[in-house]
Amino acid sequence: MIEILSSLGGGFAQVLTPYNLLIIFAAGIIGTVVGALPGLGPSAGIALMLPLTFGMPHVSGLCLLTGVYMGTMYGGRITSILINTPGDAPAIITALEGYPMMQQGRGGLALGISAISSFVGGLFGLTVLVFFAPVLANYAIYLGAPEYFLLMALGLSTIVLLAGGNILKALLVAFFGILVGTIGADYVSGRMRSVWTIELIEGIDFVAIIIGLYGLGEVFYNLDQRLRLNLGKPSFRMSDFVPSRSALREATPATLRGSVLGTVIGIIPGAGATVATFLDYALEKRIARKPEEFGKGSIPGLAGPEATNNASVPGALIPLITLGIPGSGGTAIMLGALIMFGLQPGPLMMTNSGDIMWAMIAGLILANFFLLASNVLLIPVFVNLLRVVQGNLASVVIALCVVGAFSLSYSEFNIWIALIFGVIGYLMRKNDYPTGPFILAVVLGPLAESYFRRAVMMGQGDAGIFLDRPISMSLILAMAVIIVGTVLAKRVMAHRRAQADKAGH
Amino acid sequence: MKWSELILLAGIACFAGVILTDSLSLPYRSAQAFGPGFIPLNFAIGTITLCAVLFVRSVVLGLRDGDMALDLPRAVPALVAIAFLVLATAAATFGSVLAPLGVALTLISSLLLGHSLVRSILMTVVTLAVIYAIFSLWLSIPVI
Repeated sequence: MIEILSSLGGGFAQVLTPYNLLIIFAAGIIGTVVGALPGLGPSAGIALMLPLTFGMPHVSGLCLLTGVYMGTMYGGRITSILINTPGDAPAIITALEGYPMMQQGRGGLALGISAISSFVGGLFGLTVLVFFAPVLANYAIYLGAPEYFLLMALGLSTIVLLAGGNILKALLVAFFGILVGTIGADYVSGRMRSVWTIELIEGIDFVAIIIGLYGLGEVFYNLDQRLRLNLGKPSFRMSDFVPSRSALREATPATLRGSVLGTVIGIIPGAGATVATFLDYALEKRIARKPEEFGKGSIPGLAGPEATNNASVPGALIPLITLGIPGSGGTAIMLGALIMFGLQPGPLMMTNSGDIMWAMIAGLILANFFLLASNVLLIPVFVNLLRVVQGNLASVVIALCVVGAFSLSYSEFNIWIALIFGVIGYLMRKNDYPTGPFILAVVLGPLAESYFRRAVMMGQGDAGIFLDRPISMSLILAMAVIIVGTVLAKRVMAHRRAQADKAGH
Repeated sequence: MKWSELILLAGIACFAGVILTDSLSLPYRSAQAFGPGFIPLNFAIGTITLCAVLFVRSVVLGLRDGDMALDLPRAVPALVAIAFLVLATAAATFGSVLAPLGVALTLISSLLLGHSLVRSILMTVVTLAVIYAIFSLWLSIPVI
């Protein structure tokens, strides 16, 4: 413990120079802006900043990259809450709860709650990174294809919780999402599946789907319903932006649960923030005192997944630093950056290059504090910017979505994809088909299929492999609890509602 | 039953039908596991079945409640916006994303959102200038 604290102190001593502090602050702001732009997530943010680090000292370069990484996680929530356009998959849940709050005139509160939850989640993840990284990473490598498949299936089982009132509609859109996810080269055999154009070899980019489904779909729906935002005139009353004590009290337990879940799932390579945020949302909805508020601007529904999202960043860095395994697109680019700086990611990195690693961790901790301050201070700017453009919001959202989709591969192909899914999103919204199960199936379906087939291969054709391993058995039990518990809870609620109606008559 | 739900269900069913046809040419199983055709084939069948069930249920409920709405007039603004964006995306193949997008945004703003032409042009120019500054000048993404 003392040794760890002393190493961390050494890291702070290296980072606490005016030059590095300026870099960390700039990285946080740049990351926030890039993360807020539809189509650009952590991978794009880190990749765009990589050339700037060439002439920098190693510590400063790593501080820049990790600061941008952390900043994109903060920024992703801004457009989700303000214009219902998540920049990446983990921000979808933020849009589900944050956007209704914005429509109710509580956008500032939503941004405040999410910034604080993001900070707590990030700080918790960093604490775990500092004290338990090697221990946890050693456990993570014991997970094989059966456990990965069941983890994905556990994520998919939350579809029943995202279903809303109609399970058949949720099932249909989930099946549809799985079919969309099958397009492209098959991960296991390499065969092409439904590859009608060369751009589809790697499948449909789910960020283009998200941009269309949520951003363009919302614009088309608002045009259909003749909806006009009325957020009032710009104002700078702090009470509009700073969460009240009661709101914070409501958010605290969910934030803490999300922090733990995000760190644990973030450590598992490949699982990432998406599974973690959906699982946390499912958990919060399952245990909520007022589950009927979910989807209409629930504070725990916003706070928990936001903490999860940011806790998964340090979580994902644990296998990267200790084992050299990148768990996500962002950490894969970080791996490249570490190698570029002459470091060797893997079990010996903390021994051979411990000073640089501890400086990077210290930089991350400082970045998290900077990001909380800058994001809270910037809330009035974001909200009032939205108020200024509210009459022309449709044009702004369309422009951001089209250019965001273009920037995914610098071609019109993804604009077409966004447009197609914009129409689908509009039709789904108009007819009360839930979008959550669809996007979850698109993201997790291909991974679940790939791990499932690999697991069955490992078992030489015998599916009993899922029951033979203790971790996979626990995951099966957790899945059963989610599905059975949710179905039973829905029945009990329906029964109680029917009884209340009878009593009312 | 609304026309839009019919279009959605028909569209999803058609998509599933195409995937189903494609998956017939893929191996259903391999020596020790499932083949690449396993998931697309089974889920396409499931999707088509669910579309049929939801279609029948919606029609039955619509007939029972006398609610078979053809709410096309309400959807006209959304359809016109979609048409403008389709044309703008098609025009983008000529080399510029922002120019056709600007025209589409101006038309959407003036015709569908009820803004004056001057305000529409002004807002479009400002929006695209900010986007150009961020994406092209700052992030070096080739958006022109």
